[in-house]
Amino acid sequence: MATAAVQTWIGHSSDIAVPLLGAEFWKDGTEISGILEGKRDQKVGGTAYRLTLDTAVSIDGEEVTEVEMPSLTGFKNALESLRLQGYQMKKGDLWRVRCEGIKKAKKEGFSDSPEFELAIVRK
Amino acid sequence: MEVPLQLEAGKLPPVPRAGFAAGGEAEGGRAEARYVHKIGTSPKVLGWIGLSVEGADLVRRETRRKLTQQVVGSLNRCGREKQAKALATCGQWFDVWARPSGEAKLLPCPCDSMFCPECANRRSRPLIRKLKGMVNRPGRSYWFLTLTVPNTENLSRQDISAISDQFAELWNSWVFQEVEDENGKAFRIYGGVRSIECVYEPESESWHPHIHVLFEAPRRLPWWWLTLLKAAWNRITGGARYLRLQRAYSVTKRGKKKYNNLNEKALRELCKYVTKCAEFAGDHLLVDEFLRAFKGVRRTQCFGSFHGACSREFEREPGDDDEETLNAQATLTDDGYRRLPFRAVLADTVMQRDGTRQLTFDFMERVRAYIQTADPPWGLEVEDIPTSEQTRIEFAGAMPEKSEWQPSLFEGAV
Repeated sequence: MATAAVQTWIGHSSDIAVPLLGAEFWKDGTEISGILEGKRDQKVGGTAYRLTLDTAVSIDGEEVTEVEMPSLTGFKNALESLRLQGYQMKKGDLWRVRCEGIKKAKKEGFSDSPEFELAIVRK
Repeated sequence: MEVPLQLEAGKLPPVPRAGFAAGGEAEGGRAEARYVHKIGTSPKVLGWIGLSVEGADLVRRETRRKLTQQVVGSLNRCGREKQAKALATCGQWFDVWARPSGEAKLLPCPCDSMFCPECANRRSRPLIRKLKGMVNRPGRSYWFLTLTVPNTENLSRQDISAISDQFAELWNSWVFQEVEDENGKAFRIYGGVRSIECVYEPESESWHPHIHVLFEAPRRLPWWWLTLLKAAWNRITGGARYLRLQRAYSVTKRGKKKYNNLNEKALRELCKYVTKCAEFAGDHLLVDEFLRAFKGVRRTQCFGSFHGACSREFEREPGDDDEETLNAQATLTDDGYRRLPFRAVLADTVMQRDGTRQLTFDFMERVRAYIQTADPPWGLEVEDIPTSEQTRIEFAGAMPEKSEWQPSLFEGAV
């Protein structure tokens, strides 16, 4: 006779609602590093990657270690470059994201785009 | 008394590491410890680095590749197999040039298709180089003008000829040739370069031919000149209302716009020959329509002060060798190289560290075999001529116009 195991789950809004490191956060030379915890598809703006940072960053005057990296164009391009090198993301990978500069928008009405160097270490 | 560094209990046997057998497990304990490889226990650390710039370039290349594939498919479907093959294999074939001594060099064979981005870049390079020496003159300003005509449902050669003639009329009109400013001082547009382009609008299922013009004007171009230009273009085309005029600029490293100082990048953006075919690449009927309309059309033309910048390009038909290729061929011929009657494919070459390509050993053997069998020897090699010191003979008096010994030289000749 099989034993009936009871399973429970609890979800909090705060598990998902972590600060997003948008384009305005990034300046030339800004760097973060942390562990990849997962990813989720946003309603608008594509995939966001959740990171637990080694060092807290200040967003709106608040020090946070749990952040999400949105799919900015430069970041997507860096990931595409990694994909062609054979990288497939895995939970627990150590990510270091560094802003290499801000590319000015060519057309009026478009926002400037940060460019990144994404270095990954997997143990 | 000093405390011993080691524990008094003596040495303990080393703890077996993960992934190693401790021994004694097999052959009744007589076997030695053996290394056992386990997947996932390797201490190897993997690392990757990805840059936005690299990724953007890869994405751009991938988009281009997909688009070219679409065009190749469309060309095949509309019975232009030869063009399709040339486009699909652009950059994969090389002309082989060799010397009698056995040295060989490669020259790429481009497809020269209107839809090939690589060939478009290559073809626009000589024009950009020449324009670079013509722009940025003191006391002048540079403007980028887009002239449009109403969309047309079917594109034909007449539509392209019409827009070309209309622009010629506009250039010869008083708006370009002689206008008076507020002080009664006459000014004119000095010259420029124009390029005919045509895009397809899938929403309205119509073609949109237009002309891009880069022109050179006096330093101060009055704002009301645009009104005159609009009126003139409207009159010439019989109803075209939309045109756009903006000052040409180059962008500095910091992203700031710099006027009256056009660099190569800015000129490349203005003079590129790239056909924007993304909207119709997959439709073979539209591709055929476009090619028929643009067959033998001079898409880029220089006029006025820029006249002559692309004269060489006018004489050239698609498929002919361009200026760069002709120069390279002339240099190779001067150096004693001859073109061999066969070509090398990309697989016959190996990429070198410096980015150049070198023939494989097997193909080189084929080249040498051809050179040896070619009869008679098809080249002369330069040899060093031994020289000796010569004494200058001074002449006193005038030299006779005809030597008295000269007739005897031809006595034996019949």
